[in-house]
Amino acid sequence: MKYSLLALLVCFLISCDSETKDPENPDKTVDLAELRQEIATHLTNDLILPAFEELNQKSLSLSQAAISFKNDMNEDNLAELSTKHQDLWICWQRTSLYYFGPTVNNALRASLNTYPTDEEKIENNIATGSYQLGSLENQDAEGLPALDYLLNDMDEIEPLSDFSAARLNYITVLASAIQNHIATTNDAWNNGEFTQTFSGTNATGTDVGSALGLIVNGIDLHFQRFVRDGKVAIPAGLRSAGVPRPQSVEVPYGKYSTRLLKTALVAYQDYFNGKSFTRNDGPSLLAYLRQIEQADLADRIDNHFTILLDKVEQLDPSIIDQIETDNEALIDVFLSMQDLVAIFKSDMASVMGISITNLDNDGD
Amino acid sequence: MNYLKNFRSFYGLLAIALVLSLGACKDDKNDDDALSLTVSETAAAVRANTVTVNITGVAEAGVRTLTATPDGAIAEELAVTAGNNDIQTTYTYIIPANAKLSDTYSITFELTDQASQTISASTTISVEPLLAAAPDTYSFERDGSTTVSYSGQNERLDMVGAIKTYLGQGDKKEITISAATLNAAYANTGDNGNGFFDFTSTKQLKDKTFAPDLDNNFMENLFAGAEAVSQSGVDAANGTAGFIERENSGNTIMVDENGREFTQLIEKGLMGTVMYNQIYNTYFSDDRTGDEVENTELREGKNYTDMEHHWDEAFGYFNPPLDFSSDWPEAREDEDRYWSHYSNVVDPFIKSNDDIMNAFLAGRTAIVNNDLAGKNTQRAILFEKLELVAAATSIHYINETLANLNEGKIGEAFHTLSEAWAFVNALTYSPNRRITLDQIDTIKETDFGANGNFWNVTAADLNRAKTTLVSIFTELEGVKDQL
Repeated sequence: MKYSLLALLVCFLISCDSETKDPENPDKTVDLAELRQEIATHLTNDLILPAFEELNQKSLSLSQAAISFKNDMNEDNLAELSTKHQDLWICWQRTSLYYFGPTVNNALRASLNTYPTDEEKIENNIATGSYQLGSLENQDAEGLPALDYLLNDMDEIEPLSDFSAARLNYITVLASAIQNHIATTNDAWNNGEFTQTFSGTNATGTDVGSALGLIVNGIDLHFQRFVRDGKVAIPAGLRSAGVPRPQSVEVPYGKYSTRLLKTALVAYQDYFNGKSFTRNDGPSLLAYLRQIEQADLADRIDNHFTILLDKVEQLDPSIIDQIETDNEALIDVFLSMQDLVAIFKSDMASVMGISITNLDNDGD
Repeated sequence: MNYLKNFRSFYGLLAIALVLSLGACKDDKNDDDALSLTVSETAAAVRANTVTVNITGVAEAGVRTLTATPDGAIAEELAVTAGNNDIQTTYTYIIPANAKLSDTYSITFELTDQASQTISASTTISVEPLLAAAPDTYSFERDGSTTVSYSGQNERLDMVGAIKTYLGQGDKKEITISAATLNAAYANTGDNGNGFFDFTSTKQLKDKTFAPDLDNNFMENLFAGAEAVSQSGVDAANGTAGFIERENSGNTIMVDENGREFTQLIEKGLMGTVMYNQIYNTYFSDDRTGDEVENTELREGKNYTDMEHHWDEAFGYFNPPLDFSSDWPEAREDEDRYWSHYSNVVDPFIKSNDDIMNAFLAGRTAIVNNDLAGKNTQRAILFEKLELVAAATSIHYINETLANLNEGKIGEAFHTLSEAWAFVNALTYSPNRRITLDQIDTIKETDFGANGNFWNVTAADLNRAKTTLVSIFTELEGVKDQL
């Protein structure tokens, strides 16, 4: 809010030049407001809504697999449930980056993916049967990480008879709660007023509430806190005086944390490039940069993702194992992510005239 | 401001009406000798001031008497030279000091000639405003000296500030909170809160507290709870009052067994139970700013009327800079306090600074003009707009809580939800509230966590609270996610 004046000023400065030459075709002028509209529309229709639809389908599969396992407890059904759980978690990496509007209003991330999970609280919930899912109190006793503990901690689930009725019940309740949270958010994206204004009246501007403002601020917050810090910096010990915290990785028991990280980064690269199932280079943030004669910056961002992904490719599939064998490689990934943040946070946001409003509010 | 322009056009119309009504009407019974009477269309004057009516007449038979009869008074004979044919004189009328702006005074003049023929004409006198327009800043004078005073409100706001500072030190474990100290501050024992305040004052917060809150020991219970946490030093948990860390700063805060932050409930609680309560139930009551309240005679030894002063005391509880307005410059943000501060927080979305400031200015101007209808209009606007600030601020803190919930910041979530709780609670105090007490209770005790427990709060709960608020305060619908 404090920055709204600045944003207005910058917006004004940019709008003085709101028609720019198309670098590919110098005779043609491009209306930037129109381009912003196209970006919001393309991202909504071709990236965000399909991602949520897929997430919704996968959460239904998970919920069904949980019921099948509860009804017929055998190795195959457990393996099937574990697979559906992994599918959903991977799919979430391609969805969670759209961090604004219904996603935030429904606190979907908190319900789905708060980790490390609190195993003691989970056991206590199972024992008492008294808990409220979706609450502040239980964020770390539900969602995908809680299911990781319940399904993938092989010490706990050998033999199958270890699944008590109460434990099975908790698993199905968690799966069903995940499905409900996702269905509610998916519905809000598809039918709520937010999507209409996001790709409608709020799509053309660059102010705080504009689509571009929400996209850039969403990236700024989500990438730093939940991708850089959550997946890498915290487990690597970079937020705890260099003492690693391997148990705080995203999927400690399933051991596919690197795959989740990689999927998230690929999703980010696609987001910047506007790459969808149907288009490789739709209207996007990078297309916008190229339009305002910042093609170098666009290339720099795109190339940086490729470099970063190469580094991630070298990691052990399990970040826990990576920390044990060579934490430096993980720290190197962090540093590369840090560089990327600097590029989009200061360089990209400022040339676009977007003010970053994600300040830690330590007021009264 | 618009209504002041309307005043002007109102006067224009009145002047035309006056001219039309001035036509003399001659008695019909005898027209042997010509007789005429014309009185001036003398416009209007400010209350307690003099109006001069010009009178001209012709009496061919020679004048006998000329009288003036103000409404409801006895006829007064004006000096004329008997037998003259031409009459040219004036009549002066003093508008009563307690005249309301809407009052009019009709004076009937009657001319009688030597043949006992009579003719009459009348003048309608209206009251002019002392201030043609509201000033740009909250500054009103009489005889060159200010008429505005609300030092008692300033002192009470300073007391809230000192209490907040003390609690903040307890939050950070720098001191151990004492309920006795807080109670002495609240009641301002010995005119300095038993040594708590670094100033003296004869005012206190406690005797201005909303009566049902006093009955229920709203503040005293919070003071006791803060002391217990401060002394115990334990960490908070679901069902256990204690300290919890705010993730952004690393500072701790004291919360009760349901996660509610004492400092916020006390500070923002006082904004509701004292400040809004006093504006709504004391100064905006008919006892203090109703039409019957003294607005002519000055209070003994003071430069203001009772009604002026009561309005200013309401303004004092809003406590903005005197030239407060929308789009308030960031550099001057430390000049707004409490309610004006929170108006400024939501101003970018609802322009509340202008709405409230203009209503205070226009209402005070109306009081100077003894324009009671105008005053009542502005008072109604203030009831509505002050309430809207509390509702918008509630939604603002619900949104902040959603953001904290997303990020899994429990300490921050408890802090912002405690603020939301207190701002929703502040909706209680208006007798003209648009929301019902049941709705307020449901938001505070269910939507902000089942069983009144913040540890239970979910995004769905918070969205339900938002939906309720927006369904009542419909003007917030379009900005509910931006607030």
